[in-house]
Amino acid sequence: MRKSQRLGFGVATLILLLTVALSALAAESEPTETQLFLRGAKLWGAYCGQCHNARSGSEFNRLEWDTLLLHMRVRANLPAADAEALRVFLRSSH
Amino acid sequence: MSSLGNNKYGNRSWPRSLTLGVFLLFLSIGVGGLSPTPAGAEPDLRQELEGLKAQLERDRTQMEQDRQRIEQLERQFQSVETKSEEKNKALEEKITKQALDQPTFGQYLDRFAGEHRLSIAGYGFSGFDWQERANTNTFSAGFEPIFLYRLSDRLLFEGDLELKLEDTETSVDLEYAQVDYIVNDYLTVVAGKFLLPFGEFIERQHQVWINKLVSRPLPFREGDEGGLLPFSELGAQVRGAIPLGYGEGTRAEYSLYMTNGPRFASDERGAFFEANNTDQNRAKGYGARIGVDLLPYDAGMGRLRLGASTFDGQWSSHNKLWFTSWGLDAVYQNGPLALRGEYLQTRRAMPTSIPDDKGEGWYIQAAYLLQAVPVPYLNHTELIVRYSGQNQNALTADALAEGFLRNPRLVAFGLDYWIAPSVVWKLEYDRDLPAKARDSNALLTQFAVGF
Ligand code: HEC
Repeated sequence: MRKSQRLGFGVATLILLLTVALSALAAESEPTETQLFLRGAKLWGAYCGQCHNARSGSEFNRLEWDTLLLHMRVRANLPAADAEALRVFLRSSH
Repeated sequence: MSSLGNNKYGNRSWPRSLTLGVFLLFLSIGVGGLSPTPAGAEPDLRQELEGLKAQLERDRTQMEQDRQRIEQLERQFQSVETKSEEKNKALEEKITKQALDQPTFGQYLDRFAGEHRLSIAGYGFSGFDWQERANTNTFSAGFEPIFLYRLSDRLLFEGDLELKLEDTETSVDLEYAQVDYIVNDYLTVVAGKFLLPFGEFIERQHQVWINKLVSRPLPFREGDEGGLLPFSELGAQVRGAIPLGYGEGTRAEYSLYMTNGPRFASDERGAFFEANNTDQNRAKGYGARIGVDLLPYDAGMGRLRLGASTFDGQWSSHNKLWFTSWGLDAVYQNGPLALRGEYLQTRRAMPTSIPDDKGEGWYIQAAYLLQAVPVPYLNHTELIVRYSGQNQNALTADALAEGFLRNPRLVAFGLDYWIAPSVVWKLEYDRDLPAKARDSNALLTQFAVGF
């Protein structure tokens, strides 16, 4: 193996381990709906006004929010757990 | 007898009447012999008559029975009819009730939209521009629908059609058309045509209802308007985020991509970017942006996001000449205050003996929402100021002729009135710096809606 190949292999292994560790962390505890809602409300203040004025939950219905949040999750690179809490929060007001 | 004898024919008439009587007798016998019912066949006739009577009687009873049967059938039929009518009525009632149970047509539509998961978003604007330098004095309008199709919780298609009014015609531009697939919590794959994730402005700020000013920062003008980067590219991308874990709302984000790469309108120095829809060379373009949200939301110190980007690729179709670029971006928000800034440098390698084509650009912007002012209307008003600049060591002859500058500077003052979070009326005054005596002012206004 060439040196650069070995380096690449090392980096790949590291990323893999990191992903596994993070997934394990994430799977640790399943929050309840109320916990998600409360977190979502807070995160709405944290994230949703960063790029544009925050859009309120009542503007769209539940199904629309599912789609729009997927859009925002990709566009704004929202962490998965945060996106889920935001989804629960925004859906609840319709 | 005397009467007879008194008859005029009295005495001589009796032998005549006798003859007549005999004749009649014979006649009657003769006729009797001729008759079909001789006086002797009478009992047969009666019998026959009786038979016929009986037959008639039977027929009559049969008829009566038939009539009764028909009546019965009619009654049965009627009852069946009323029953089915009742059933129909019940069914109708059921259907109406069901229909009423779906109270609004809107909800029915929702159900439809839900099944198909299609949402239409986007934005539109109308405005008026008066620019001294460019000598414009015109109304303007634009419309940009976005189609979002969620195929599953992991799979989204997004397409953005930009409908633009150009000098004498309307143009359609596919700003982006991409498929996003969420592989896991930390990785999303994007393929298609996407907005360049370089800095903040292109991907996250240029939309008319998001951009607080009518104009764009100088280095982020699009295409042949004179900016330093392409707005969208065709390729594939991986992106995602990792929570930093020391507080709500802290995270690191990344976008890594490979595209058809940069392409210029000509080999001339200072040439503008062009779409590279079919790759003109075998080489690809590569880019990345990493960003961090540093302040925990609960700390109450506001929000701070920092990012660094690069986009590079061989631009020439016949030489291995590279275009390289890098940039930094920062956002700080606290309550009604929002500060943004970006800086970038670009370099386009030219064939030997020709100096490299170099560019540099920046902007800083401050916005303050007068939300605390307890005056109606005023508390929906936002004040904005932005300073942007660009340096280029070369411009094409055409661009120079059109009035482009090598080192433009622009100060823009804005006053926005927010009717809703995504509905705004903007007023802007621009001043070119360094001011030339005559041609340095512009007034712009725009009504923008995001939906
Ligand atoms: C990193 C910047 C960023 C953040 C953070 C962000 N958005 Fe957006 N949002 C955008 C951009 C950019 C658009 C415009 C998309 C387009 O036109 O292509 C947009 C559009 C929208 C729209 C209009 C419909 C659409 O999908 O185009 C809604 C609604 C929306 N965002 C809600 C939210 C909510 C809710 C949050 C909080 C979770 C959020 N946004 C966070 C950048 C952001």
